[in-house]
Amino acid sequence: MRLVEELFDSELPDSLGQRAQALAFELVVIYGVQADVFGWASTLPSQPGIIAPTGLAHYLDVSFLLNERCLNLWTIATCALLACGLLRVVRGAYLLALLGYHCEFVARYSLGKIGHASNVLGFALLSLGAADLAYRDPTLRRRAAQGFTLILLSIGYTWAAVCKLRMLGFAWADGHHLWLWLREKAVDAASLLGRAPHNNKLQRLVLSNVHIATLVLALGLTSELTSSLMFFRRARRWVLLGLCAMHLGILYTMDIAFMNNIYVLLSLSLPIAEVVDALSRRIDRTRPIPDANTT
Amino acid sequence: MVPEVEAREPNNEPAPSVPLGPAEKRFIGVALALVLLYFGLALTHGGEFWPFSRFPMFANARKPWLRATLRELRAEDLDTPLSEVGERDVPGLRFPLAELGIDQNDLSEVVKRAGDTLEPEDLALFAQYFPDVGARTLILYGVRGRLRSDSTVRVRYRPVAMLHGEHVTAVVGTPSARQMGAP
Repeated sequence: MRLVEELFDSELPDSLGQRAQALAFELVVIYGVQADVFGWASTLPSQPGIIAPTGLAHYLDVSFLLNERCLNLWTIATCALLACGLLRVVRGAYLLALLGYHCEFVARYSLGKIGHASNVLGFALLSLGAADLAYRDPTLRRRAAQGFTLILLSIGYTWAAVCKLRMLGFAWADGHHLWLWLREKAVDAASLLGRAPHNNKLQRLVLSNVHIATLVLALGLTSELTSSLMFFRRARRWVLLGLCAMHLGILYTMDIAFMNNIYVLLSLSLPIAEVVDALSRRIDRTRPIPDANTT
Repeated sequence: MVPEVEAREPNNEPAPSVPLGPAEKRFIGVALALVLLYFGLALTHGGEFWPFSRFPMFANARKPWLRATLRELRAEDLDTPLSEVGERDVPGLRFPLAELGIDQNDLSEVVKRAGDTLEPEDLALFAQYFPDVGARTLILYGVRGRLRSDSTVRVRYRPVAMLHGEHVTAVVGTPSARQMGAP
């Protein structure tokens, strides 16, 4: 079971750096979730209703979340559960926070358009919750949470690539498609701000030559298609950074900000553990050895 | 402390296979449950059961798009017939949705759902959706874009409804805003 060893190796010794990396991942997730629920809490009361139910809203009437008082209580409860999860007060806290987050999401995106900028936080919160229930040992819990997140991320990105290939095959990467979307985004930006948007350098570059636009799309598709390589430790950092680059490309060409994806991918891929361990070793070397006579 | 990964790397010989411990077995069990949950919920709910999704955004690359935008008519635009036009011929000035606190994606979706012919319930929804716009005369346009056979992008603006005060009126035919009751 090489794959299990790559994603979750209970025999690997723990280190300060690994704990720091896991904490960074957890804090990124908690920060993103609370920012989402507080953000939705400010827009939900003005929403006309639940028009196109999704998720649990198929089975549960979430219109109570359009009431400002209920919504505020729900938001505060969700954030309190996040805090309980972080401080390990209650073992199921993260999963209950996920339920609160899910209900706010399905209430917010009930007009027909489903946003995909918070799915990665849902994956990570579900993974943290599942790991919390499955393991009492903090080291195993941390590793399992990251392993589960990688599995869910990989399924999501691979499925996205398969959807694209199923529609048009490799012709999906034709740069003219990017031109079509850039016009769509220009209409959106002008509509939102009331003025014609200025093209940035990357947008001007892809609009100047269709082959460059094709290359940009091909790189994005390749990043998604190869996302399963994140299962392997040696490739993981580069696969995750490649996906980060894809999201930055989407941000600078189409003004679609998948910031949660970028932050979660960075928290899993930056060499935080290595840097912290190297610093820790250096501090250990420079620390004076206590005199035996004084102890 | 030296991380064990570094300690293991110099040895290139394949590690002897060891039976899985209880922690690994539990990891496999939970991971399988999550994978089943992902596919089970996504496949039985049209590909979307947050956070599980098949992420179909931009998959249908050649599909024409429909967005929504608001234009504010000036006094000299009130007698202009409201008809489907190209980008350069749209009457009035762009009106920022941000000023009304309306989300661009949500509005576009509402216009898309309403379709070409507005029913009374669509108008009721619009009336609920838009705040009182005061003395302004705003026209809600559906903006359609598609790739032409010569690979250029064609964008057309079609008037959907007129907003004045707290009233929303459907645009039927090609009337001017004044014929629809704008002062």
